[in-house]
Amino acid sequence: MPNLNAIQVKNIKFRYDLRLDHHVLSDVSFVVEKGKWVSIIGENGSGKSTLARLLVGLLPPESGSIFINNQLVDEQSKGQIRKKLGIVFQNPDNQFIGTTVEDDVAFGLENQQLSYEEMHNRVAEALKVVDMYEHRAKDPSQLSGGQKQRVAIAGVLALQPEIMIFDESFVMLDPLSRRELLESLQLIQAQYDLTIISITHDRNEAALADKVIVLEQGKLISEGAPANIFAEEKKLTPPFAEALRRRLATAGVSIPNHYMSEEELVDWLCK
Amino acid sequence: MNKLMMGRYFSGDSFLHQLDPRTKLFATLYIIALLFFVENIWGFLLLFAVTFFIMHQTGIALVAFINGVKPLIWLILFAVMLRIFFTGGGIVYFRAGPVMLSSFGLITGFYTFSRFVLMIFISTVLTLTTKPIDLTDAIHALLKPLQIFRISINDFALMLSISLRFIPNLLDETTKIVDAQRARGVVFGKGNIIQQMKKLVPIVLPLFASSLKRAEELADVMEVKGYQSDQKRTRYRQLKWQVRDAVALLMIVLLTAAVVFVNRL
Repeated sequence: MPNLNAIQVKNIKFRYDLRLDHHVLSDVSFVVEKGKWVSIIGENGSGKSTLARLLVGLLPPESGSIFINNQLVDEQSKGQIRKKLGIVFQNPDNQFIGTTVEDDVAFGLENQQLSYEEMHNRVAEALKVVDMYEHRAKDPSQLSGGQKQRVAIAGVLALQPEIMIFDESFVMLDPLSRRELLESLQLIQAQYDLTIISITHDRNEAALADKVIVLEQGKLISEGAPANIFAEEKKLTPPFAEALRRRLATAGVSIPNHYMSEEELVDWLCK
Repeated sequence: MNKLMMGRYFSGDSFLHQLDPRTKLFATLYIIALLFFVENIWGFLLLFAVTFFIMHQTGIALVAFINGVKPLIWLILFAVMLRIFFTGGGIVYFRAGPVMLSSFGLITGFYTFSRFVLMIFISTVLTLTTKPIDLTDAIHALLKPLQIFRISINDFALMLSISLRFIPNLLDETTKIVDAQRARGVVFGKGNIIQQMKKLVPIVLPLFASSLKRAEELADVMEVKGYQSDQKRTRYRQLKWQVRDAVALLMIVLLTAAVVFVNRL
């Protein structure tokens, strides 16, 4: 059985300015197994977005290597690799290429030279997932920031990639729609065995991941299941459920002394 | 500010709105060319009648068309005056050196005026009834033959549609920067022309900087989504030729015949 790593990052180093000794990423290594949801967290300037750009081959690492589906990412292979990989960036305005919502979602499909019918099916399907189908004829000036983020997500969904990278792509959504969208994404992920990497500041979103990677000043300081990460790394702001558990523990409630997901906590509280 | 740029298109469902943008663009260019083949007053009367009929068909108020002429009125009057006062022939009513007023001059002045006004009216019909994006598609279609000369029409069309797409963004940004500078105490619209121009620098520089950043991010997104210049792409928007387009072209042929006939009168 071949190893099922969707992404393998080996000792990558990167700096924007070669004259300075300031590395945005230094000696970062990790693996992401196929079909998993991985959250990357870290403060501003910790190198999260740079890492995303390296993964899709927009920036070359200074040293070290990145493998996507066991294929080395380099100048020759990146075109081929990008067919299996989709990325949604932070600013939804600067990634809106089409004149209308549906044109924008179709942009990547046109590049893949899909047939007219196939494109229309995929665009409709993707827009329905992000709940923007009825806005398909609108132009970007008529949309809110959150709506533009949904369109950007639909643009990647329509490409049907094996790996999706979200670089703080849900920040402009209100909490309810964020939760709904994350749920739909989890469904799609399970259905098509997708690998998802989500860069986020939202601890509650990170708590849903299979694995959390913590970056600090360009270094990977810890990785593991959210349960371990949030229980061990006291410096990190924990997700809501963990924060509540700790507060209850300090208040003298005899709550189990280990990380609990939101569901577990609710079950425990209702006992 | 947004209305200024995007307000050109009036939504509607008239015959003209529904026409294929290629038909409309072709017909507009054709009628403009036809204006230069008209040789007598009857021809112009015919074209005035036809143009007003077309304008009426759009269901858009006459004011919108008159507004199209307004910014150009001085240019038109200048050209007309040149024609009137420097054309000799026929009965000369008045003469002072090279300047003269003749019956021939008056007639050519009227022709020039009519050509200008009709040209603006007919192209206004096009811009008022066609969305910018459809117009881009039409330009793309009409330029297609240039591909023989290895000119990349797809890149050009994409460039055109991206620029159209970013006009509202740039306007918004300009407003924001102007407000930000005002909040820092800059007063616009005061002082002599040099001082006023200097005050534009703190608006133009951040605007350039942010546009470059935008362009860079956009290029990254396009690259990641697999765009390559010169590469073959399929098209999500497809124009469909319909019966009404054939009808419109038939009318153009009839109009040509009518102009040829009237020219002989």
